[in-house]
Amino acid sequence: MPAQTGALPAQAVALPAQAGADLRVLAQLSESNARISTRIRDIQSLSEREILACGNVLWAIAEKGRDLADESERAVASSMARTEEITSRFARGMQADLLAQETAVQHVLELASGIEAAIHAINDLMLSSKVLAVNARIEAARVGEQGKGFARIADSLSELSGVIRGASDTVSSSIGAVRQGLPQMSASAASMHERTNLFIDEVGKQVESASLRAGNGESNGSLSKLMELSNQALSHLQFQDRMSQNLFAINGDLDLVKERVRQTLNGEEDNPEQAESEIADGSEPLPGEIMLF
Amino acid sequence: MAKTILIVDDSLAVRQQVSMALKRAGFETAEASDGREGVAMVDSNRNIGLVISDVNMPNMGGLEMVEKIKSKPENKSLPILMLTTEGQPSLIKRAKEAGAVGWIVKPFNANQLVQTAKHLTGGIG
Repeated sequence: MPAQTGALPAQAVALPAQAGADLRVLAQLSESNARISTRIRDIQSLSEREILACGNVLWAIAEKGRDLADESERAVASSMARTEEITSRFARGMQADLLAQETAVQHVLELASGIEAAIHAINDLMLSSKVLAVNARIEAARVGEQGKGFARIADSLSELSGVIRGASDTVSSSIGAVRQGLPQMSASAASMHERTNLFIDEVGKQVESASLRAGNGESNGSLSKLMELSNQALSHLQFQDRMSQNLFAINGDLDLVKERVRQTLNGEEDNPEQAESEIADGSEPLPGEIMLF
Repeated sequence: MAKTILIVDDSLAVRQQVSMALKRAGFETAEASDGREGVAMVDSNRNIGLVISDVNMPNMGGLEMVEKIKSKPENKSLPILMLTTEGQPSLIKRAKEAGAVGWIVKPFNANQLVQTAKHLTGGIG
């Protein structure tokens, strides 16, 4: 700010005693003006310093808020990308495993069908063996003592047929159990497949939603609010600045008063031209009003 | 290249607020803390498309700055907008005669200031 004059005119001190009471009053007025002027300068200086300090703090808050929002946005975006990557990898692995499981189940079912066909063939063979054993016994009975060899063959065939039948029943029973279990396993795999797909869809939607919130929505909303609040606070500082400028103007007016006192004390003429220039013509614009010429 | 708006004000808080509002609207800004610095920056930066200036400043006030800038033929078309706490018609008249294009009394509205800046510069780009 321009330097303000505060000292009394030298002529005021050198006034002869007979200058009269009015001039002494003017001299006292001049001294008072100088003191007021000094105090106003102090207030103005303090006000400006505080305005700058507040402005700097608010600016720093706004900047930090912006940094925080940016960092938060980057962190959320990074986290979302990582989550998406992990989920996607898990889903791909799970789908591949389930597909392999379904393929294996299908393969086992095909094998079971093959084994069942083989069991049918064994059963047919067993029936043939029984028929052969019966025929061998009949033939052995018919030829008497000489047919004892046929009788042993018939016994062996019967025994073999019994063993085969037992094995066939066991395998058949096992195959039946496998056949019962495999469809359940297949249904379970299909269910897991469906659940996995639902899980992937849900995670995908959540990731997209979170990314949108991080990118465009809530964090930006908070940042905008913070910036708006900072702007509001800075607007208040503009009023402080206006107050400071008014103090500056008051100081200027006091200087004018001092100058007029000095002129009076020195017996100088008024400067009507200068006084005229201070007269305002027209009305003042309102705060915030924009006048374009 | 985006047009640069020169903000001349001895109050750092006001400079920052004006700058923040204009930057968010896409403008580039430069700052000066008094009229003398403002004149020097206009001389050295030909990309300045608008000057927004306070009136009461140390070293050189805003009105004197306008007179100095406008005294150079190359600056005749450079718009200068006064942003001040002052509202005296005599000062406004002097600013108009010196070549300023407008007068805003603080505190200003950020959105209106941006709209005025766009109007005076013909846009952002």
